[in-house]
This record gives sequence, structure tokens and C-alpha cells, in this order.
Amino acid sequence: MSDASAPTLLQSLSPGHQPTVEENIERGEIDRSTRLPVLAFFTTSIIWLLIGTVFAMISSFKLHSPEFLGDVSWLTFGRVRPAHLNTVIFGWASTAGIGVTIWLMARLCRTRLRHPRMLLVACGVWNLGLVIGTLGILGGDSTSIEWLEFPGYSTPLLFVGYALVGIWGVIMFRFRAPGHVYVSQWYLIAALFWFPWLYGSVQLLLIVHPVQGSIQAIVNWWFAHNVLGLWFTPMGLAAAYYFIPKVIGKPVHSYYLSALGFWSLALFYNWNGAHHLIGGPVPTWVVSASIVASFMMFIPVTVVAINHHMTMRGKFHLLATSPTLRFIVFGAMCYTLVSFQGSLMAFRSYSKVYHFTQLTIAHAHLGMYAFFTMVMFGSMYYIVPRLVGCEWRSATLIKLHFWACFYGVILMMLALHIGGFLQGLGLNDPNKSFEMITNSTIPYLIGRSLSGILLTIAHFVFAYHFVLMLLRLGRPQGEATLFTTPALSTAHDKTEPAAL
Amino acid sequence: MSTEYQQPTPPDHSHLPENAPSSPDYSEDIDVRRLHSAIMREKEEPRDGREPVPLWLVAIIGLVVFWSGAYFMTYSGGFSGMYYDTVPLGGPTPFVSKADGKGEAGAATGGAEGGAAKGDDTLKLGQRFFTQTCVSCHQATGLGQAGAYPPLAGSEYVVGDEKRLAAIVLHGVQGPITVNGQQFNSQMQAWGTTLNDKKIAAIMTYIRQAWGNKAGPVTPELVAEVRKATASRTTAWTEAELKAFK
Repeated sequence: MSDASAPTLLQSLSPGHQPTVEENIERGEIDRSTRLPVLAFFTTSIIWLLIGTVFAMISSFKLHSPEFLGDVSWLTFGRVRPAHLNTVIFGWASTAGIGVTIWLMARLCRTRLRHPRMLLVACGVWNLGLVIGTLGILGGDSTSIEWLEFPGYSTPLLFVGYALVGIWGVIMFRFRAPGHVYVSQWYLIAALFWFPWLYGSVQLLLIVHPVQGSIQAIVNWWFAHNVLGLWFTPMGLAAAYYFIPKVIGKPVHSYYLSALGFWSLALFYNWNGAHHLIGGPVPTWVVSASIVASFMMFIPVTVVAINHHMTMRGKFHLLATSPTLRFIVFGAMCYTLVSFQGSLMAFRSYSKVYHFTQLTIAHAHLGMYAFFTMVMFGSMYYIVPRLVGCEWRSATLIKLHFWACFYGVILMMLALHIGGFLQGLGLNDPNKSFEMITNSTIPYLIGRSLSGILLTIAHFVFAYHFVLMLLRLGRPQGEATLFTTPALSTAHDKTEPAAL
Repeated sequence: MSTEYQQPTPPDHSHLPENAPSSPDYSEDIDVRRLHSAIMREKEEPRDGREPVPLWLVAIIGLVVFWSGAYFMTYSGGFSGMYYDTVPLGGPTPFVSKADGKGEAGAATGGAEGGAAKGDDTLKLGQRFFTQTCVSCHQATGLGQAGAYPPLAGSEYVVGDEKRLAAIVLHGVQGPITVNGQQFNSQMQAWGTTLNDKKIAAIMTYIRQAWGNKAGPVTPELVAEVRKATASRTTAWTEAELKAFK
């Protein structure tokens, strides 16, 4: 089996190579071996997405209507907001990311999934940790350290749950089929190593044996920023690097750009966190190092953007056809956007305006939602039909999902960017009272709540569609569920059938 | 390309592994072609192209690296754990340069430790305490208010004998007083019980070097000495007493 999977010389040279029947059957076997663990992670991640969305809506409403649920101590802003953050970060994004990682690892290692029970146990322990942690936050046990609010009695479960996945990843990589290691896999392997390093260090330094003074803030932001850049970003980019060339059937533009992008991310990202502490009691050089590293992030981001754009060149018409491609290309474009914005936001002069305003929230959602979450949606649209044995039931539901997300993101970005910018200018104006500035943000916060309603609709539509797939109530296997008929899409390019 | 993706030959089952999955799964489809339809319509697995890195990109990366290095050296704060200011070292630091050049010299050598840089901190602290304590009467400009509060800028009492100045801050002043040729008549509070020696020394250092004043710094030890020498005093100074001081 492994012999057939190694690329032959012909395969490497011929650009128009189509998979042989043997390769197809092998791939089918690999997909099937990932079925239970991947579906377990996907299902729980979508449940957490819905829970996190509800928390998001409650906290968003509270910002402009503070009396909303104001009497329920479990749902006060100080608890619901961290509950939202932690359920979407660890419950939705990480769980979905692990699901996609498992599937990609099996495919890229070109070997059937080993030790599925280990992953099922990991999924169970991880979710148990999430449930206990979320209840802990709502019950008032939050650690009050941003991004790490889960109380100390739940985090060991998360760590163990994660560690099982990490060990599994190393085993899979160890037993991969011989041959070239594709760029997606560099990112996945790196993420699998970076996350325990981040999470373990920060638990040790802030919860188990807290460091003293302003070092706490440095450690906290080192973690909170790196978990974006060294855990979510690699998983998101790995998915984009796999699915874009896969769906359009073209090689990735340049191996050299892939390598440059990967290593410059690995080199610069780790330094970024301290730019959150501009103006804080932190030595100047620490903040300056972080600002410089944030600016240097222009390099990996530009490189990845060029690589993806040049790969897509000539194939943009497929965005009209393929749901996977549309979600992922949207996410990849937002990655470029959010990273450029982040590089600029790191500067002291910009920070003076946006720091402590809603603009920071806009930036965070542009990264975690418009980039990462959209890439995860796109990946799931590709993976799930291959696991459950039927096609997505309705292109209309996928369209509804995409456009509700699209307009939700646009509305949220407009509301929070404009509102946050005006808020920042106001806070710098000594003639304006704090109350006046706070009141002036209310229309924008209502705009954000409206965008939240759109996103909530999108999530429930997606969850409904996913449940139909789990119950095998989708369309029978055969043709992929596409936005437009394949005939229309192949009109541009006769040689290739539409793919999903 | 000519390979028709919809038309696979009936698959040879000898490829399938012996132990086909027996886990609790979805029921298996008998039609293998339908079962694998998602797989069979797939494009090839992603591969790497070999396009070179464009030269203009290399140039841009070079510029980014160069600019970053320049920025970091400007705002490195001498890599000192004690330097917290956003003003670049060696740049325009508003108070140090006016004092006696010592601060700037200290900054140029990159050390935040040592006497010069300490003077810098004392000035900053002095300005802060001045703003908290003195500014409502003597004003941020150091010019005071006509008829009531005397100016500090150019005042003989400020730039003159530091012991007399310390005595004024410790015990206050009452009655008419002439400063810079102008008459003032008001009460100055005694600050000896409110402010400790360190704070008073910082304030004195600041007012002796701000607004064009060019007198030397004051140490907490000197304030302590004056405090001890005038410990028995319970009333504020009068102009006559100050003229006769020491």
C-alpha cells in the first residue's frame, strides 16, 4: 500500500497528473480511517461554536443595554465575556482546528490513521476540561487573566487532552509514507509542538507558580498573542495551503516562497506579544523589540499572500462554484488584511489612538473570525462529505451560511473600526468626559450586535446542515454540492471538472 | 488530462487491506464507485511549484529588515531594564538637557544607572510631585499669581541658598514678601509633615532647574539636615526671618 503512494518520477514531472485508481482507493481508505475521531472533534466544536455565539450575543447586548440579564450573577458581563472568549478559542477554534489537523495529517502522511481510540479519549478529556472550565468561569472562579480565564482545576484536563493529540501527531509523522513533506505538514507539525510549549509555560508561570510584578503582563501577552500566531495561524495556513491547490488542481506557486513564509513566521511571531504593553510599566527595549518583530511580520504575510494569489491566478472563477474555495480564499485574504493591520497597530503612534478601544476587538475578530473560522468552515465543507458518505444537502444553505458570515463580518468591521477610532480620538481629548465618549460608542455597539445576529443565523444554519450530514440525510453520493452547476463552471476551463 | 475522471475501471479489491474497518461506522455502501465518488472527482494532491522568489520581494524584505534595525536601535533604551521612557535615548529629553548637560552625557553612554540618569529620574519625580502639590499656587509656568503667590522662575529664594529653600518648604511662609521686585502677601502652607525628605528634595531639584533656573540639585540628606536643625519651629517664616536665615 505504501509503495503505491510514493510519488513516481513521472508523477513529479507531469503537471497534469490525475490520480490513479489505486491512489484513489488508498485515499478513500485513509479518509475512512479518520472518520470517528474527526467527526467527534467537528461535532463538539460546532456545539461549542453555538454556545460561544450565545455568550457573544449576551455580552454584546450588555454593552449597550447594561440592564439586560443584569440580575443574573452567572451571566454578568465580567463572566459572560471571558466565557465567550474561552469557549470560542478553546471550544470552537481549537477543537475544529484539531479535527482538520487530524484529517490533513492522515492524508499528508499518506497512511491510515493509527490509534483512533487515543484521539477519542483526547476528545473526551479535552471537552470535559472545557465544560468544567466554562462552568467555573460562570460560577465566578475565573482566574481573571485574559485568554486564560479557565480556573486551575480545569486546565490540566485541557493539557492532557491536548497532549494526547500532540503525541498522536508525532506518531503519525513518524510512520508517514516516504516522500516529500508538503508545506501544510510543516505548519501542522510546528503547531503541534508550539501549542504545548505556549500553554505549558504560561500555566506554569501564571497559575502554578506565578511570576512577580509586570513580568506577569509580559508572560500573559506573550501567550495570548502567540496562541494566535503559533497555534491558530499555522493550522489555518496549513488548511489554506492544502485546499486551495487541491480544489483548483494546480501546484502551489513556489516552494521557495512557502519555505520563506514558514521560517520567517517561526522566527518573528514569538516576539510580538509585548506590543500590547505599550505605555505600560515594561522596559522600553522589550516593547520596541516587539514592535519591530510585529513590523517584520510583513515578510511572512506578504510572502504567503503572493504564494496564494499566484496559485489562484487564472482560477478565480472557481470561487463562484466551490464552497470550500470561497470560504478559504475569503479567509486567506482576511489573513493578509488582519496581519498588515496588526503590523501597523503595533506602533506607538497608532497605539495611542486605538489602545483600550473597540478597534482592538475589531482586529481580534478579523483574525479569529474572518480568517481562521472561515478557513475552518471551508475545510469542513470539503472533509465532511468524505467521512459520512453523502453530499451536503443544499447549496442554498451553504450560500446562506456564507453570505450571512460575509455581511456579518463586514458590518462588524465597519461598526467597530469607526466606533473604535472615534472612541480613541475622544479618549485622547481632555475636554471630553469619559461618560460622553462611552455614550458616543453606543450606536456602533448596537451595529455590532446586529452583525452578531447575522453570524448567529449563519452558525445555526451550518449546525443544522451538519446535523443533517451526521444523520446521513444529505444528497446521495455522486455529484458534489456546488454553488453553480458544474456545466457553468467548466465553461471557463474545459479540461477540468468542478471539484469540491 | 485525457484520463477521464468519471470512468474508473472496476476497482481491484486486492488493494484493500486485510482488516477493513470494523469500527461502529456508517453502513457500508455496496457500490464501490459510488462510495468513492467524492474521492474520484478529486484533483491531484497538492504539489510544490518551483517559481523563484521575485527580486523586488527580496528588495522589500531588505528594506523591512533595515528599517526595523534602525527603529530598534533608536528605541532600544540602551537595553536597560531600568529605562521605561518612549523618548529615544540621546533624543530631546526636555529637562535633562537644560540642567547641566550631565544627563545628556549619561544618556549618550547608554546607561540608565549612575548619577546622571538618576538626576533624570529625580527631575521627572520632582515634576510629578510639583504638579500634585505646588502647581495650584505657583502655576505650571512657575510664575505664580500677581499679588498673592510669588514666582519661582528666577526667584532668589529658589536658586539661592538651598538650605533656606528647604526651610521654606518645610515650614511655610506668612505675611508680605518681595520677590523679583514685586510685593506678595499670602500664606504658604508648611509641607514638612506631608512630604518626606526625598519628595521635597525632588521638588526642589525640579524647581531649581525648570523655567530657565540653573541651580544645582538637592539631596534628601540636605533636607533631613534642615529638618533636624529647625525641628523646634512651629510657625511659618516671615520675610525678616528669611533675610536673616543663617
